[in-house]
Amino acid sequence: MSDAPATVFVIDDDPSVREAIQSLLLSVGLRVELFASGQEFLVAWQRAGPACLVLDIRLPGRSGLDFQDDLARTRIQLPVIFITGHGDVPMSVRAIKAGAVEFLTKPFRDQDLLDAIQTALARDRAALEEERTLADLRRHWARLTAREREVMRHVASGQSNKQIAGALSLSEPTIKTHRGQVMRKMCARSITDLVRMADRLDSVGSDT
Amino acid sequence: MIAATRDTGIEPLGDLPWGTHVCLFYETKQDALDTLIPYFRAGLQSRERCVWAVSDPIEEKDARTALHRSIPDAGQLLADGVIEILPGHEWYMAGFDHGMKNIVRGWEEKLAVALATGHEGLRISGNAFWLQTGQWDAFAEYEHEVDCSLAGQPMIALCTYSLQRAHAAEVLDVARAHEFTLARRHGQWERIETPELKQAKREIQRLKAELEERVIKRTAELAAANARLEAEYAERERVEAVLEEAKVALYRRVRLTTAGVLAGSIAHEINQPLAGIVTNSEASLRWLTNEEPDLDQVRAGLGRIARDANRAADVIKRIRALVAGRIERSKFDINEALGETVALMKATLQAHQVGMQLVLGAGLPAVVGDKVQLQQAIINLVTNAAESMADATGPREIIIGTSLAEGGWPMVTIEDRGRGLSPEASDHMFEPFFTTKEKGMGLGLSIARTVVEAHGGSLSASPGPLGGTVFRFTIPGASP
Repeated sequence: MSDAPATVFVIDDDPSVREAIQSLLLSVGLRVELFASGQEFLVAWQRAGPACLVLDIRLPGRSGLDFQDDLARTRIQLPVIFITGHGDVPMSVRAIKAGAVEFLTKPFRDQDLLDAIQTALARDRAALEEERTLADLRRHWARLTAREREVMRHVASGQSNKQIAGALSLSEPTIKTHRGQVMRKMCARSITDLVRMADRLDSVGSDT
Repeated sequence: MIAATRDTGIEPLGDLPWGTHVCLFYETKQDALDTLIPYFRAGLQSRERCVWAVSDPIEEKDARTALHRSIPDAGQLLADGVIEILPGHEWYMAGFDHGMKNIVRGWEEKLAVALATGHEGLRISGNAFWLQTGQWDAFAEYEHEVDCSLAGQPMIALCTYSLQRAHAAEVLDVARAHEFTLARRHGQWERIETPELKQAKREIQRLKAELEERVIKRTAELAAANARLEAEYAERERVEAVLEEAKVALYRRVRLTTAGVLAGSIAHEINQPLAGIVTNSEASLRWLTNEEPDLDQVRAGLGRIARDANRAADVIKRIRALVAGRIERSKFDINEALGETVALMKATLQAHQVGMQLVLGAGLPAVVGDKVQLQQAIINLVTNAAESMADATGPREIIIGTSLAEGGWPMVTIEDRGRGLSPEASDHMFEPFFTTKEKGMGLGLSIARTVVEAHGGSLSASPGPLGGTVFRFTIPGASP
């Protein structure tokens, strides 16, 4: 999905600003989708590749800052760039603390916006990549039998085949066979790789 | 006029009111005469008729001799009956025979004669020979009658008793029957006080002390109340000063807040199209310089730029219309408006240690306009004047005046004694954001000029006669 073309979602109630940003982003080959309000965006939103949000602070109804909070609650994880016609320091602090990539005051330099968008997209790509890796890991883990999972836990804790055989009251050749299955099903290139996978699954609270 | 008190002629008694009944105990005949002669002399001098009932040990001739010796015209006075000597024994004994009331009636007749012959009253004296007679009860009754008779009458009585013939118990009884009791022994005065008198005196003393205590207490209370009032007054003055300051501060705050909110909303309104213009220009440039330039995109971008620029201009036009539309026109007196403004600025001027002089012209036409806005213009000019003297070494004074300008319009002048104007300041002082002060915003004079001009008047500045600057503005007067 991270290889799909990137999309920039622009939410600003002012058509002048929306259209100008659209023109600027199109001129550098980015895909743009325009929205006049946060509600409009939420209705239309669909993940189709890396993306980021250019969000005006002053919006009709809920402000851009409140909308940022709404996004966090709805588990839509998108990097946000704020633009404002009349910003102040407390506003920008709140936005950045809540995870905004950048806080730009209108009128802004085109390059500043483009740089911020590049940063935001890179961040989103990385997040997507991470998400995909984790998803793969979980899918692989799901394919293991109960015995294989047991063997993997022991391997990850650094035990030898002999030690594992002793602990599970199985013969060493049997352990060897399970271990081969684990490496294959988990798509692990090495023991180190497998240990890393076990750690990762551990940290996200997978059923290990 | 009849004196309220009478001179008794008796040294320890001094002046006493009419109706006084005095008792004298004497040791020797001379002691008796020493008292009686001054007693009667004082009575004669006070235009009183005097009646002296003599009896043993003083004979009638002793009395005459004594009178002649100390009163020059005693003979004439005796002949005229101004002073009369009665044989006491017979005078009193008639009473014993016909009742004590008769003696008293006798005295009352003497009083009637005295008043009828133009005297102010009657002064009598009788010698209590009856102490020898043992007819004490009768005389006690008599003394009581005399006491009652004397009350409220222009009459004074002096009863004399021989100490040599009196018993201790009798002395006490006699003394008790009189208001004042004296003793004269071998040329010396002694005062005898009855228990009642002592008690009365003590009571008086007590009342006096109590009164004094009350006076002291009341004085202290008054002093405390006074101090409290003074403290309250001082506190009130302080609070009023603080209030005044707070009022001015609030006034400024409201102005600043309003200006801040307005500035914020203007900034947003203008920044939107500005952002559009800037971003469209940059996007258009990119479309032009791309490997494959897209002129349609450039054209569209330029069109949006023109649209946004017009939109920005519209915003400014709207704001101007809004400000102009805010002028609330009313008819008011410029001197009154000036007075109110100056009252509002008292604390500010005090803070700057600046004095102020108001020279108001008479017969000025009323002004039509927005009073609050014009007062704001005046505040700005006065504040500017006060601040121009911040580091002045000479006197700090602002002279605010009104007068009739040419053309019949009211004119307001605000003159300071500051440094005056530099050529640069003269050229730019009415421009927004021009300031010579460290903390100045550079808006005060600009706003003042805008307000005055919005009212159809004009504001100018020139060097003042005192070395500072004079700001003058005229404002159209209402047509009568």
